[in-house]
Amino acid sequence: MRLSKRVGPLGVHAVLMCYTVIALFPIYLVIMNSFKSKKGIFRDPLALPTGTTFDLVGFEKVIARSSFDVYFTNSISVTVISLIFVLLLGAMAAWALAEYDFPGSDMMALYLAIGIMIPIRLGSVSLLKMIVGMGLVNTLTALILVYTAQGLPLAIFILREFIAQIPNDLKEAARCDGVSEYRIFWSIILPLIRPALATVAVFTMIPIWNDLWFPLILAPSQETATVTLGIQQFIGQYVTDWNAVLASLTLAIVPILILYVIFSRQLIRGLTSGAVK
Amino acid sequence: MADIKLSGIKKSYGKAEVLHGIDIDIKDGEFVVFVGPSGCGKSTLLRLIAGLETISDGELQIDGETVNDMTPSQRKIAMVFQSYALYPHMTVYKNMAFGLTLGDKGPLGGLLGGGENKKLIDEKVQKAAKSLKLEDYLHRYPRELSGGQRQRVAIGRAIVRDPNVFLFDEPLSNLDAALRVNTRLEIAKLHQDLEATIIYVTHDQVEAMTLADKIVVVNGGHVAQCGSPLELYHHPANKFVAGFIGSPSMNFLEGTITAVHAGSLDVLLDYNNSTASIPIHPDETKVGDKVTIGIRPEHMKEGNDQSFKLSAKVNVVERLGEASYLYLENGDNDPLCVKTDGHSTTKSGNKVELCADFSAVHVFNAEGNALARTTSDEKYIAPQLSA
Repeated sequence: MRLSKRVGPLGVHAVLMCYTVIALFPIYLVIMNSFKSKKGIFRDPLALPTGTTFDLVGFEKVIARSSFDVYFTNSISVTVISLIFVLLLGAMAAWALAEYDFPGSDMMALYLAIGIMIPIRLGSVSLLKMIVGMGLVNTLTALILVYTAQGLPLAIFILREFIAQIPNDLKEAARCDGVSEYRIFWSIILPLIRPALATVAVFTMIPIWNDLWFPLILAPSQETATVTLGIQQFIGQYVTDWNAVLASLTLAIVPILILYVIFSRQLIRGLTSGAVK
Repeated sequence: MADIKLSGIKKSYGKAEVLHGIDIDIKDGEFVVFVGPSGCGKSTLLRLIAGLETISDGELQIDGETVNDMTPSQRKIAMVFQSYALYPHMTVYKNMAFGLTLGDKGPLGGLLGGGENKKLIDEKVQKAAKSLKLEDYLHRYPRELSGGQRQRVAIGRAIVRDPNVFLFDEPLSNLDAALRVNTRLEIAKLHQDLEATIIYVTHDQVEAMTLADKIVVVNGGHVAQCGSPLELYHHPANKFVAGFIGSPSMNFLEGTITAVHAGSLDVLLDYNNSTASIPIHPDETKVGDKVTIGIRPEHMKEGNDQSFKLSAKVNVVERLGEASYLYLENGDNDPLCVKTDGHSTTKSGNKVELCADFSAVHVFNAEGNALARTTSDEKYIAPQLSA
């Protein structure tokens, strides 16, 4: 009994550690090799950079030979603006669906949830047609619109559940205090669902940042390319500049990591404790 | 401050009607307690008055104005919730000030500001905090407070709004016993200080008796009786009120009328086949009618020197010190309870003789309505309290 009690958590941790190593290994390889010379990468891809193999040539190439700054700005603005729209519109829709009982509210919620099950890429052709029709090809606006639509279903689904868990008394107390519905949403609901917003933000942001598909078909021009698209120029049919690819991938990790840190700090549990009872 | 008048208030959810026409008059400055068992509709009634639920039928007036379609804030009410409902992400100060920092005016329903000016708000909050002894906690968060403190913050949030009517929804039910008594006193004092109209909902008849100017007993969506605590205690209008008010609750015995006199009734009790002659206005009763007689535990005693006599086996004795409660064998029915002297040496298993005054006995007809008593014994009628 005592033994199994000790082995239990140990086993769990062993499994988790294994998973962590497997998940982090490719990232480790990318970052480590981005600091090595070409020879160093090919001779021994698993070795750490040493005095002879240490080389920043990849980073130099990326910064000198491509418009990496433009890609970066594009990626960041598309991700951040889409994120803001997803969170704001998602939370507003979730609040309306959770709080107000109007005819067809359940059908509406179901309709929005269907978006989680159907991949948005299935609609690529119609999306492209619509974007062409609106004259938004090769603009960041096109990407932001598509990503907002892509992120909303899951955001609404998760946030609605969270909002429904906020004690009714809080909203009613606010109504007795003469607080308007808008103000209840801004000053009470939003602060209380901050952990959920952070979760949704992380889930929404990573696919947007990593996406290659929509930048490729909707905004492939040099001025609107995102980081993932921009890196493709180093990958040729016959020759791939691994130094540059690895260096740009390493650089691409940085902003998303910063955003993640910001959001994960919001993931504080028990924020509602002390509200009721 | 304001009068409140409920006339024919009904509430239904779909086809289920939960309140069946409630009429209550509440005077300015009165402390009214709605009391009743859980699920009787008392909380719903409070929420209707607050404006958190829509009234299905009937009219609600506050200060002579019909408020059926007004929002809670337009009705100028403040509500203290059972769960306190403090905003968890705001300090005590902000919790109290929040309702004041915004008006209904301005674009987007006050989203962009409006409300009263900061200095005035600060004055109000400080004053309320002082009266509730919360000054030291103004910068704490609700999660850092004890239950009693949270309760006071919730009350403070109501006070700063300076409402026409305070509504309390079972505010003490989350507190422990000792704190409950303290907070009860504080609420009574608050009522005296503010001279405010207060409506208070509870299922605890002790809270109702101790706090109320007027008690409204609600049962199954109807008002069972409405009156001062002592009126309800001494002159319950029906069996439900008689059983609900008073602790331990009234003993009931079934019986049949055997003779009707002017001013009294003879009732043959099923319990021990004895006949009791009770000073009751016979009203429309006739010989052979089934009735229930009721007598409070504190109106019975051990001995046989009074007119109404019983003898029974004691099942359980509860010794509280100042008094002891004897629970007596009563077949399949609820045991009879007698409040006896704290020094009583009666033990469980003993057979005891009990007696009471016929004047203390209530009689209820088959529908459960009380028959008017004719006794003039001051011990058993409500005293006149000067207003």
